Amino acid sequence: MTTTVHPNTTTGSGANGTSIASPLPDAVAAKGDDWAQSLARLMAWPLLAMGSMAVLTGLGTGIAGGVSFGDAFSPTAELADLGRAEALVQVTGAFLFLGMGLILGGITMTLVNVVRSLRDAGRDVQQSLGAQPVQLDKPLSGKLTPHVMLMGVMVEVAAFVIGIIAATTIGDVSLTALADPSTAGPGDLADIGFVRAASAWLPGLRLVGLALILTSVVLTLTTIQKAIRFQGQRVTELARGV
Amino acid sequence: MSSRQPDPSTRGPLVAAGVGVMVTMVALVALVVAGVAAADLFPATGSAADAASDRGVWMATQAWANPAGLAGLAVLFAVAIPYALSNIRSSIGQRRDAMVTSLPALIKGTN
Repeated sequence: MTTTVHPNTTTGSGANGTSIASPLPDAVAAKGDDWAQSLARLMAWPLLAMGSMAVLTGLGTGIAGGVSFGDAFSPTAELADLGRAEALVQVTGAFLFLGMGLILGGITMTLVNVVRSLRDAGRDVQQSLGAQPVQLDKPLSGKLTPHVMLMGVMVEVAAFVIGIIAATTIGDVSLTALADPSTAGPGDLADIGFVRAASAWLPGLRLVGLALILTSVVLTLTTIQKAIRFQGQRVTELARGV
Repeated sequence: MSSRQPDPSTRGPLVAAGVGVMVTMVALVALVVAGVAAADLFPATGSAADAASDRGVWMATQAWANPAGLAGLAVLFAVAIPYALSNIRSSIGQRRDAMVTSLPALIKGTN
């Protein structure tokens, strides 16, 4: 593969001020992966796998919680069934939303890998034409993507931890107090209050985490659009120089 | 078009994503208020009227804030992402046009 500069290619100043063989304002010399792209290359599939396992775990605990609720309202009901069901409800929500967050994070990283493939394909095409390979300087959407995605995943992890704390807290409440809070002592009432309060705002926190990760998906799609458009401009520019 | 200049075609999905996140954030704030009201009930420290008021805030806020949070997500799923994908499709069309008009000249030049 040739790496010589195309003889008729015009030169210009790149987005970072260096001299490169393209007058396109956002062109920079081709370079490799940065930390976010390396992370996406390594973690896309593991995140999808971990997310799928978390969702399946949530499905399992949800079924177990449903069976426990069914047992709690059966003729042979025991109070322990109700306590187990209340705890499993909390665990189920925690695992399901963590899994959804990890899966969507994996989708974001897969889309970042699409950007990497576009960049590498553009570099190879330019080199095969004998031109100096240039690429689009990372736009703001690309710079924001890893930060927004990681913020969303961290929110989901925090909500998962709080969900597990809520599950253990409701598991500590005495079974008679769980069945009838009016008979509960001050400690049990405080625990029930904490879990009820957490159950009120935890779904909102989980939705915010998902919204942030989905925003990172939109940012990555915007970056892909810009990369494709840049490549069209680069091909046109090279053809004008022939 | 330079991406350093405002690009109208990329603005739409980002605005839709911003609206979705804002709606979800509003729902989170409302749900935190509902959580505070719920926590006040265990144990109920005020009068019966206060307890009824707390229960009303808890139930009513949860009733509208959860759907509002889901609506924010729906804006992202149903508007922002399809809009961005549609823009990618149009960019691929533009690149196809550039290839169709430019590749023949490039191939002749390298030969």
